[in-house]
Amino acid sequence: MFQDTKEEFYDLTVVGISDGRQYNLQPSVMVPFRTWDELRPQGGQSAPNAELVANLVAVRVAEGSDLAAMADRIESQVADVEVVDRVTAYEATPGYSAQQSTLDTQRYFALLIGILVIGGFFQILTLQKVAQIGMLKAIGASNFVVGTAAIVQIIAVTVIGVALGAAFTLALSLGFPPTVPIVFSPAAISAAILSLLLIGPIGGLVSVRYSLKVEPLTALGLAQ
Amino acid sequence: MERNMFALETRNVVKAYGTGTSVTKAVDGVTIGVRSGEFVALVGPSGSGKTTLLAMLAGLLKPTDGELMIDGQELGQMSEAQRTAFRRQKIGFTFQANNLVPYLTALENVELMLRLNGRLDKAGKARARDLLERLGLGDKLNNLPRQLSGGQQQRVAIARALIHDPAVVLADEPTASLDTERAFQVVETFAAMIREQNRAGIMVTHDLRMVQYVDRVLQMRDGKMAREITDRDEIFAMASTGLHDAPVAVELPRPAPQLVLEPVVVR
Repeated sequence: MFQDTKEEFYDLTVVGISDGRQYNLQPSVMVPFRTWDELRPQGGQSAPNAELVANLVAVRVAEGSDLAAMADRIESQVADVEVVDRVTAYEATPGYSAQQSTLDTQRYFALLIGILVIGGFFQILTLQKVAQIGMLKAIGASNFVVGTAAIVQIIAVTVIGVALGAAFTLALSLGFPPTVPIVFSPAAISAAILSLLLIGPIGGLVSVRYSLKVEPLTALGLAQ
Repeated sequence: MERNMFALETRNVVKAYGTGTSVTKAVDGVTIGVRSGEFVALVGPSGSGKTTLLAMLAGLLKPTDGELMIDGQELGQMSEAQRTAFRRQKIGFTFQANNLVPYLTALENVELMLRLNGRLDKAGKARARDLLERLGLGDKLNNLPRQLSGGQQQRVAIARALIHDPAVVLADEPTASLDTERAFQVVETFAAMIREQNRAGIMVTHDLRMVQYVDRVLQMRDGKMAREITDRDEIFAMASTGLHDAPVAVELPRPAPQLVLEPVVVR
């Protein structure tokens, strides 16, 4: 433990190990309040008679309690206190929103990159089929038939790809060591699967448009 | 020429590119007529306009000028969607390459034409099977194109070009990717099927040896119809000059290669 520039050591006895207690992705240690008051950084001048300071106190209320009335009571009886619900409390934790926005940005960019990668993938597949599409149009396949075929194939490839990817991710997550701070909740997984199912067809739209533009003259080597 | 005598007919058909003084006429005032049951070769050096003419006959290109009738319908007036539907119903097509859909079997490739026309019923399936069997592919029905030789692929394409009872069958260099023996077999088969099924057939080829199987040769030069040959001896004389690009005498294979077809019934 560092206090100012001086290193100090304390002996603490570990009495138990709990699951799922973390602070900003870091493992956390739970200690009695007075022990914490002794250990915590004191800000230069030590103030032995200072009041006990807590920046967050969790209150467990009995089932069926009137939360609003309880909040009013706490705020009227304790100076300089604000009562909030659990979500507001952890969102107000220092660094929480900054870190969360970084993660969110990464997630949204991953989806955007997904659209580009999947779109590029379908575009390459379409380019490889230009001769075939030209031949089909030359023998009388309408743009409706060609477009529908392209959309159906894009959806099929996306669904199979997402299913394989989800299964692989699930298998991988079962093997994660407990220190990896990722939780696969059904809601998060459903959102990811849904967005991936959507970005396939969105990325494929360019190649559908491209396949509609292939000229049947390609079949005779005459396309302009 | 009398109207409606021909399955396919053009009158002074022109295809021009460019504007003003820089106009190039790829096809310049061509008038031809092909009857049902007649097989015609369209020959000429590279750039003579034969492929452009074929593209117009297929409804793939709109003529700049002139008339173009197939099965009594004027193609020049049709919209693109109408021409696409017309190709699907009235025209059979084989190409130099990329003829078949690679992930469909031989049978499915032939059935595709009926499927596009919304006519793939039990009878249609039986006809597709029958046609392929008659083309000597009875044991290859479920083979994918990559499991077939070049000649076999062309025969599947011939079956696809005929299965939907088209008025006109067009072949663009059907022998371009084949060795000599297979080339003769394919064109001979093609000619026999066109006569038997009473279609109007036009084959664009640069390989003059192939004209021995046709009824008439139309020779193009600089976008114009330079010569029409109907005399059998003249056609054979042309066939013996060999490839267009190498006008040297070649020996035609005698006797002609074994036909894979049953005897042809001429109606």
